[in-house]
Amino acid sequence: MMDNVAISSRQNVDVLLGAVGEQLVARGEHYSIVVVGGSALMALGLVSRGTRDVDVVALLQDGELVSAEPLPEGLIKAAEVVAADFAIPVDWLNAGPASLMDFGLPDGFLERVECRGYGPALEVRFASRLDQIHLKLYAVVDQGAGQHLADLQALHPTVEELRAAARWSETQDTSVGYREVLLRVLDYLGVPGGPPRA
Amino acid sequence: MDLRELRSALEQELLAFCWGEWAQLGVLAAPLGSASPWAQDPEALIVLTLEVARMDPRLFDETLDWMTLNERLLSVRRMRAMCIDDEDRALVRSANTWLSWQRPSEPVPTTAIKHRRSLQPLFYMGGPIDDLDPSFAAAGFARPPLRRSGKSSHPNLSAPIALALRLRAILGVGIRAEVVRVMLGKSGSWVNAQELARASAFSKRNVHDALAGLVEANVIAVAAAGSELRYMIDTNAWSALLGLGSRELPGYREWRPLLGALRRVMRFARHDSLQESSAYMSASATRQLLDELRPELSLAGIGPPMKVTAEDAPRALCDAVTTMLSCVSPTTGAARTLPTSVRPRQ
Repeated sequence: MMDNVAISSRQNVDVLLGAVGEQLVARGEHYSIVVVGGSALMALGLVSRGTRDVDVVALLQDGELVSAEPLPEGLIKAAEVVAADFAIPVDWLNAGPASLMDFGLPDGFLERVECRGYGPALEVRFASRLDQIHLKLYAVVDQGAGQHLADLQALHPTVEELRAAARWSETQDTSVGYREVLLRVLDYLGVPGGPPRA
Repeated sequence: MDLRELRSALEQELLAFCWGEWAQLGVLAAPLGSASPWAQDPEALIVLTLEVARMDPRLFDETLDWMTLNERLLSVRRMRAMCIDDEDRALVRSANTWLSWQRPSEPVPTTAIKHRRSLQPLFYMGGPIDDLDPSFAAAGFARPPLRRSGKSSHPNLSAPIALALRLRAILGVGIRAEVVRVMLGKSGSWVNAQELARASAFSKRNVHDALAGLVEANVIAVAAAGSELRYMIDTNAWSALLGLGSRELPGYREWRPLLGALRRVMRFARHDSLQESSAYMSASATRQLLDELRPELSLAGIGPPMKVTAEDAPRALCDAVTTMLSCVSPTTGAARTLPTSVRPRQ
């Protein structure tokens, strides 16, 4: 399997997370995780491209979102076993986007997630389409176009959705430089005038 | 892959192997087909037998009878060094406790057996046990009291399989005998202290000291290869001492890793919980077992299976077991194959 495309389909996401769920049962541990990014888009059937990892933004503990960084030891161990079982990169399940929690996820994020159980030991909440638009717009401005822009366009966001996403994204980065790039991106996406300052 | 079938096939093969080896070393057993062409490692064989014979109480008891008779030729330290897990350690501890209580100087144990319910049956076929053997109970096993059969005999030290015991009779039970056994097995090759330490189950430092003594006695050669010392045995001189032609030296096997790997697979196949687990979890556990086996198979000179996915692991395990069984087949080159029912469907 190629290193840059470990997870190639929606079924793949389900198989891998199902395997983690089984490993957690064997370990006697239980976790609720919140997933964003390409794997979540695939899981919800919003895009069909492959991805190399599953991005965990947060854990749900006692009904509260907490940072996924660092991922719990048991979850890491289970994911490592699954990585070896399927010959995929060892860090395929990671807390890469956990820093998004520092300034908060979009309002109502938790109410919009789609929750799926992978056995009795793993619950996965996938970010909704609207929240993925928020996160993808931020990623396009922050990290550059490429795959993020392709994903954002595949979500067919409306002007209002992009304006809302832009407002939220400015809570993550309040710099003038960020706003300049944001305005250019919005303009490229057909959103005139940009958002009012948050 | 059907784990029960794998277990059954492995048990049958290893029971036959153990009986065959012990029969040649002096345990009372039915006559064999063909003599083993190799020198056996007694402690490696004992530790394997303590597990395999849990399916055959007679083999278990006759092996301990033989150990009692030939105790002076055995190394308790090496027996411990052969252990790969807690199960091995408990079996070795119980066998050695029982052995020590057979000595006339040792008092008959009067230890009260506590926690009877927490003991695990020593023999897999189960059955009621009225009286417990205290030496086995002390190590956590339930079995009826073991009494010597007195049927064992001393091994024929001239037999190829008994080379290790013969060398111990000459050099004493210790490092030198083991180093010479391994070096005769690898005759014609230069070996270093690390390889010998691994194969002999002694520490590198102790092996190094023993080698220095053998070099001083001028019975092995030494050469420096960079900063490393390498050693070679004078096969002709040792063959002459043993009354063998230089081509009559017994064959060599890396028994320690080979028999350790076989025990690991046996215990894996005994996990009933794997039978009930999902196809994925069973395959994942098999893949993890292969990862554990890889170093042992490599040391045993068996090409270890490459890293495989869980999906491919059952087939790779069957291939590895087939190769291991071929290595313990006395008929050179005999390819033992697992029954078709064991192998995963293509």
